[in-house]
Amino acid sequence: MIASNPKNALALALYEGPGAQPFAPDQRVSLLSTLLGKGYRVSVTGENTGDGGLRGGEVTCDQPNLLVLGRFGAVPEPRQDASGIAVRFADVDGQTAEAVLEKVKAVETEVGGTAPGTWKPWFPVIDYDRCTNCMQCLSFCLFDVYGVDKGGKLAVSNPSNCKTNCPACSRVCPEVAIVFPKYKSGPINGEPVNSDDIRREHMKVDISALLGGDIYQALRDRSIKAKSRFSKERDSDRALAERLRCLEKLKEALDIPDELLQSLPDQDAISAKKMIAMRRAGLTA
Amino acid sequence: MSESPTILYCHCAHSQVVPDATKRPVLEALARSGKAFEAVADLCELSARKDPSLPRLLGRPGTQIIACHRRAVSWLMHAAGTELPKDTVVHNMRESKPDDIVSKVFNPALNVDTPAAVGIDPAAEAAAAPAAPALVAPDTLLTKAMP
Repeated sequence: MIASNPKNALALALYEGPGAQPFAPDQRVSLLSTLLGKGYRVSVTGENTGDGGLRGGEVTCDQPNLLVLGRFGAVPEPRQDASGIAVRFADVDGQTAEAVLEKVKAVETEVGGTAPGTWKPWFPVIDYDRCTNCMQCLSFCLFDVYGVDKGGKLAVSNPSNCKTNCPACSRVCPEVAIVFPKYKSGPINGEPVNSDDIRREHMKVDISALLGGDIYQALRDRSIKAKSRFSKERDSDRALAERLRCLEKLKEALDIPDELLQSLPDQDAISAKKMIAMRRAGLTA
Repeated sequence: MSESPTILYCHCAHSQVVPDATKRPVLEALARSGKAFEAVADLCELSARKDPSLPRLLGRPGTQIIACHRRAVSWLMHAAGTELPKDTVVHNMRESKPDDIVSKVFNPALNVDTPAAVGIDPAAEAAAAPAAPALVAPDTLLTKAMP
């Protein structure tokens, strides 16, 4: 899994509790838009109206460093909270969002924090309500994104290996059980799965069965036939054009990146991958 | 410690899949409300990093998440080692209109699966909710610092 860096992480809070003036709504909007857009996470304490429905000054913090942004007037001294959190304060009264952002970056540098955004926003998650542990995704993925856990259950073991914008494994899943939350359309993006989706996936399985249950073998057979035909016709340019045309169609149909198509494995490689994953998990293949 | 329900807003900052025309008005309405809420750049990031704050954020009864499809949010949380409670309301910015989302956030009774609607007593749930790992109260700190 992608590693966090809790040692240096910095939490931000827009503070409007006792000792600080509330933000003007426009400034609150502008600060939030800018900080979130740059990948920061912000706790908004809310105005301290004393109606009991608002937190009015509390900030729950799970990070070792907290930067409290507020309209303080006199900026409080940094201090160590009883729980060990290093709390810093910054007066942002009348400042533009850009100026505040620079201030935040400076504190981040000071505490040795990791800049936000240093992670890969494209990875699959498994819908275990639907997954049947068939391992087709594990076998199919060329980049070892999938593995199995100690219980032999499919797991996303190396999400950072996933190729950005490639949803190919979710397309081979017969149960519509792989979700890419940032994919453009459903059900891959996590939309509820409907009966049409399930029918479509079962059609894929049926086609695979019609091809003899081994789509890779079918492709290899087709390739051998094509080679034979092309060797008679002796037109390598036409052969290449045909191959490119087919690849282009496949790429468009499945929304698969170029680099993936250029390195399709054979059946032996797929079986070997499955055995390796099982051995890694201490299971007999 | 306050037991106010948490509003968790995801800005989906690393992708264009949530329309700007939805997330901007929603964020603006939250910011202008003067209410407390948690805003994260990207919920996927919290999942990818197995963020330790997720159990706390999801542990409060009546939590509302403003993000995308519930199935995606639920399994993202599972991937992070945290289960999405059944009574957590997920507002979907990929499909719902910003006005609808905002009105439901501020009028939880409009949500069909709020704790009250599904027969959960928020007070009892609050007692069972996990404690926050650390609670900083800047007001106390400020009181100490100020003359």
